[in-house]
Amino acid sequence: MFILTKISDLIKLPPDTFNEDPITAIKYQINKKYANKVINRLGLGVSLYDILDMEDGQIKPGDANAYIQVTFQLIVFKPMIGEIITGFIKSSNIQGIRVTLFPPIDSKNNQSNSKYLSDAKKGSVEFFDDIYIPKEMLFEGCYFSVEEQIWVWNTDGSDETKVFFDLNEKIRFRVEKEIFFDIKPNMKEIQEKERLLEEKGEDALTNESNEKVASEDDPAPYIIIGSCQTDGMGLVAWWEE
Amino acid sequence: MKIEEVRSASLTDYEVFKHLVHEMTPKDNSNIQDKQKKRRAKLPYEHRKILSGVISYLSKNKTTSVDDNTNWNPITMPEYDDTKFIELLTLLNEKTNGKLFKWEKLQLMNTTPKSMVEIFTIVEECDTRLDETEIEALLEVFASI
Repeated sequence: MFILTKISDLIKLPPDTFNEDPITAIKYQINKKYANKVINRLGLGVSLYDILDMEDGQIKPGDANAYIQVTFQLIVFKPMIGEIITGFIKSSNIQGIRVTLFPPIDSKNNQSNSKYLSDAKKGSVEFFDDIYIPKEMLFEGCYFSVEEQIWVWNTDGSDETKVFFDLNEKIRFRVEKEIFFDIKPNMKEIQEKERLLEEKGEDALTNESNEKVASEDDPAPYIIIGSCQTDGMGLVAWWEE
Repeated sequence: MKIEEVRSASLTDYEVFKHLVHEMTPKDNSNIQDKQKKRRAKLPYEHRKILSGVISYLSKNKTTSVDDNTNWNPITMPEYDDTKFIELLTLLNEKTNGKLFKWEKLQLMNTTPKSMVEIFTIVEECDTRLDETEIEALLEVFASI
């Protein structure tokens, strides 16, 4: 599910980092540039793994920044075609099922992963949620229940053998295809975000993103198509012994 | 930006988890007075966002149901260490007489299957390549953790 990718890039160090430890400053800049960003035809950048090589800094006329050529390895989220992974059902409609990898927040019992999520408010944590299982790639005998708005699998025709793809349940599926769209990032939005971050800190940004709920139609740069057609696929709970 | 090598290595969930938890662990920055510097000592906003996301996925991923808070996958537990990981991998090799592909072993380590049907989804043509005792031995390996 995760791979290491070797990348070389010219990293910009702003003047206010010159009195810091250069390695720390470079790590910060690389993570800032690559973390949580989709690299086209590659995958979703997660975090810097290690720095392999770096050259001396360069300067440009009329520019106060230092530029350093760095070769490093990045942890990239990129499931292989054919890989079996699990996720959680985010929503379903007549077209199929949408799966997210971020576990649904449990309102009753929040202690589970509080250790690492203590400062996480809603909206300030996220992980890949553009996985779609189209209706053609579900088991044979699946149909969409309009009343309940979920998919139902009628395993062998009679009413007693029905099982349901309930929301928020854990689902196992096979990765069939990855699709990339080359979407230009909205520079205006990014600059606005950076300004907010600079001036008011992260709380303001979190509130902001809570208010503006991402629309379903927002184009996603990286989509994974999954399938549920063989034994062992579908809700994990079905296959427990 | 230039991509030198798309897949220089594949990582197991455990390795990723270990690295990310290490990144998330706050460093001692109490002696930094400068406000500007203090902010830099923290992780970049988007970076922290995805780190928490991946960590919570990896720690929730292997449980059987969403409400289950106790049954974390041992592979992603912080107490689980390198020696245990290597031990498990050696066992995996021994029990199957080296018949598994690297890629399958990686997936087995990630999912720590508890049932036959899970192994069959990962190992292709499992019924012809492995005999029954080998499959049972596999299950035993993962049941021990």
